[in-house]
Amino acid sequence: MKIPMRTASALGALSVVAIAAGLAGCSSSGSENPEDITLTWWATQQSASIETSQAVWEAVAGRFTDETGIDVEVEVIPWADLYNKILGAVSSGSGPDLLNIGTTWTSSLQDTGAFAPASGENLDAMGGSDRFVQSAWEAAHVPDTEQTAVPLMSAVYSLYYNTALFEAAGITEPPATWDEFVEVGKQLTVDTDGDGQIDQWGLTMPAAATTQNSHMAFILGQQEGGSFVDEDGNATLSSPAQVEGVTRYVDFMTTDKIWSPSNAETNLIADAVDQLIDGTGAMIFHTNPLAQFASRDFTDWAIAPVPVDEGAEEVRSLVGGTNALVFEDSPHKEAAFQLLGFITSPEEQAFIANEFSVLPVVTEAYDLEPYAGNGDDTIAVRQETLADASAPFPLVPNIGEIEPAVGNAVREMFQAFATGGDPDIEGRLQAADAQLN
Amino acid sequence: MTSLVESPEAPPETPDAPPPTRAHRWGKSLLALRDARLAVWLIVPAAFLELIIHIIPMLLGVWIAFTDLDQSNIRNWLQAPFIGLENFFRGLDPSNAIGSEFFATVGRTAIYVLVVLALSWALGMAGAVYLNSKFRGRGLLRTFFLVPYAIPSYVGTIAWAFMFNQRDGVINQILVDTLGLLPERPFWLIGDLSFISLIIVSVWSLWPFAFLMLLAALQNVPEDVYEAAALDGAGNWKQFTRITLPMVNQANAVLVLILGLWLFNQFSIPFVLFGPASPDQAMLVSPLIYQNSFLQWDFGLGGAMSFLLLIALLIVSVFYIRLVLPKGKEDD
Amino acid sequence: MIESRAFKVSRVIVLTLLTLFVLFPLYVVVSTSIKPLSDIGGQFTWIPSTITLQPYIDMWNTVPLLRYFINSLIVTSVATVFSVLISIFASYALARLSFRAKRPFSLIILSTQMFPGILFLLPLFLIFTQIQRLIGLQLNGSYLGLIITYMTFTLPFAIWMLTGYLRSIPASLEEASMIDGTGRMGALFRVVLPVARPGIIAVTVYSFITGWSEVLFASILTNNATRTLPIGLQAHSNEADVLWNQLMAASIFVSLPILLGFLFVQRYLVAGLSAGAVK
Repeated sequence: MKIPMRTASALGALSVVAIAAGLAGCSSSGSENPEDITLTWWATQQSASIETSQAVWEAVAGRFTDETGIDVEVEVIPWADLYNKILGAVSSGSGPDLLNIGTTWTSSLQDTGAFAPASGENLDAMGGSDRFVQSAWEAAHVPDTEQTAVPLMSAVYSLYYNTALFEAAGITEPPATWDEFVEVGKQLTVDTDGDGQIDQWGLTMPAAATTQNSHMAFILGQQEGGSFVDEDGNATLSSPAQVEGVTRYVDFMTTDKIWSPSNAETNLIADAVDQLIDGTGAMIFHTNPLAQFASRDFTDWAIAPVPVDEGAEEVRSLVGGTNALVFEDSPHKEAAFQLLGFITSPEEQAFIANEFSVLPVVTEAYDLEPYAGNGDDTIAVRQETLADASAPFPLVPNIGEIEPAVGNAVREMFQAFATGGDPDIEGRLQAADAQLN
Repeated sequence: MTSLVESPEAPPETPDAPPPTRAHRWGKSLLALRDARLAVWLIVPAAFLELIIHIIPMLLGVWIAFTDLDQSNIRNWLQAPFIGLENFFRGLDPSNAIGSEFFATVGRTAIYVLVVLALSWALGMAGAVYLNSKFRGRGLLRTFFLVPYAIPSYVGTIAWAFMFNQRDGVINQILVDTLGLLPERPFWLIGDLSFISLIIVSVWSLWPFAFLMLLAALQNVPEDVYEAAALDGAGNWKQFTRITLPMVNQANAVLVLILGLWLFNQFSIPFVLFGPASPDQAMLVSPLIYQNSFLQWDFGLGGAMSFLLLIALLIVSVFYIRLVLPKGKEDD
Repeated sequence: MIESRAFKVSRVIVLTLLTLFVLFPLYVVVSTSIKPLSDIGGQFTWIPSTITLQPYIDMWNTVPLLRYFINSLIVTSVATVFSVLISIFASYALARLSFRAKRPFSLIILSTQMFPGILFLLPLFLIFTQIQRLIGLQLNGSYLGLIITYMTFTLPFAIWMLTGYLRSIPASLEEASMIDGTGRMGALFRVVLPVARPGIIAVTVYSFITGWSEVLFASILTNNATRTLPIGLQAHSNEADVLWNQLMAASIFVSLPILLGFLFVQRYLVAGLSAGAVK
């Protein structure tokens, strides 16, 4: 039976359209039935155990589904794999709808153009931005661009110290300035068993960890009024202010000698926390060691703000934590921003922050159960640092190059010193600048 | 009776064969044709898989080397602009992170490969020879020796990192406290000794692999050849050098080649042992490229440097194959 | 082989030294796995102050170890079986038959070993995504994608190794069999494979271990449901905390199947028939 030409071409046209529509993914999400949508969400591992993180994120997602009928598939990605997976998703256009990232990745990821702007309709779907802690919200905004990243959780550095050691040395107050810090550090650096070897140190930090080195270089440089980059985006790691900031940090090991040279090979912050716990070190700069303290039943600790000198810039921390991005190629952008709005609602923020011991990014959450009154004494100090004394890590597209450049330069300074060489602070920072510019 | 003077592979004397008749030649070329067709069928599955999963991605990787693929255009990677040799010039430029260290690092990596290869081969061969001989418990010992290769290299390397820890590690405990060989605890994971630590950990992880392959290769040497040699008065060492080594030459040569290539691209052991950034004294070429290109989304640069290495390794391999691997019975 | 006194003495010495060398870090792994976390930070202690088996219990809950185990088992076993089969065929052709593409083929697959894995990663992922779009076959995040990848990755070494191995087996064996009328393939299965068993076993162990411990491609080609063991191991180490004892316990568990399997199979590794079969 011959099919008439017109019918054939109509059928042909229809099938081409159908195939094209199928290949292109779905139509825009505006007219979709919520029950038919399943969002994919790549969440980060915030706890020592994947299962714990999975349970928490799934609880949040479950409540979202109850409220809106939109299904959410949560996948917790270990940090070690996150980079690879994001790479695959961005380059292929085939990825999740919602993605968690570390705050310091914001500008390089935004530069790929793969993520949807958190403005206009999307922002409306999310419920606006007024409820956010302003420093957290602004830290997610790359200057002169449309904001894509939305803060999910905040983390800031504080000084944690071993109260048993403090007591034993008769120190009653944590240090508030750097002079006090070095003073206290020296008092705490002792040879406890009389064998001629110092076995207790004032400070413990992973001197081989690129991340922590770059963070401390940032904080201390900011306090001196310095910065990693200037307005034109050129690296200024060897500016006098930055050099001073880094010198202060390196001096803890080289001149003040309150920090064990053995730590020049330590590259995990968790190892430094272990040293605090077993009394090898008395003070540490960390964002959130509470889980590790708990898992080792360690209770002789207290928190204080990161020291700042009189007259210096009051920057006690960078704005760290986790941001979220929605993929531009997602067929369910509106639903994804709805989910984002849900996760950043005060109730869910209180829940998440309580589970992971992080700081909520939404001001109302601080007063809500179960977060408020959960007995966590560190919240007050950290909240204040986040609100009043933190600065955003440089939001430039090449931050992915700058962070390892400064982190490694500082690492090499410690390694040189520990193996008998010259830290050459200014020289190494200048070399880092040269490679970046 | 074979004597140790001639190679044991020398074929026995054959009586003079009659000159090939026309039928013979016909039959031979028919066989050859059938063989060739069979060869195609035998190769096709491997060739197909290799093409899709290995070769095409590799060609894409090579193509990336000539583009300026980075975070700003990764989304439309197919349209990344072609920039010719620019990545190569940039990579080899002595004023940047890779270029300043490139040739030194390649040299260091070559030394690393040679030392680890030699040690792993020696240990593997020793293990294979001794565990080929009969004694009680050899099955258990063979399995035990496999453990460093069977255990995920991530964990084995971490165990070594514990051991090499300057302050708390057991190696310094033994060297300084127990044996008193050294006055102070040296650093093994940074500084000059870090290269040695890298070698030790690599040999530990790799030698069982050589052991496994060499043990299998040893099986091709028939018992009676050894017996004949022994009757001729050859001791075990002579048997090893005159019989064992030549007879495992083929398998051996392949093992050395491929292990060499793998070691040259070694990435995971330094990454776990030293952390994301290796100390200068132990920097190998793969981590160098990774840290200064891929990690920063600079794929064009990473691709270019890897392509350079590919060419270099290809040249070395071709020389090696010509020299060491005989043509065998091929007719090409 | 008739063993001299010197041989036997040197055997004891060498094997003892090798055993100690292998044992040293393994002892660290095992002893760390039975220590409480508080014990692990400071100076290394040979004997744990408290011995606890809790890590072996907790490790099942830190990461979904059982699920990862099953995933690894499925992916690795299937990939190994096919990889070995395909490489046997290809190696036989390379070792015995002559055809024009032989040299280029061997050299090309060798060249795949000269390229760092990370450069394959993106293109492979992209190819899989395209295949998914074109014919709907899901390769990312499915067993199939990982199986095909592992299968292919182990081919070059397996083919090169088996080719070299088969070349050292005298062709007279097959010729005798073919004169008996079995044809090439019959000769391959009946005569060559049994003699080549040690080589095949060695290559099988290699393929299995490679798939079992592969991390880079597993990180990108798996999702929650298909994630494999090596990823699970790595997930123990993060900024929140590092559960060293559980990590060590999990790694022992991860290595056990390989070791048990090898214990069973290693006697065939050396059961090689002597070439007396030719006589």
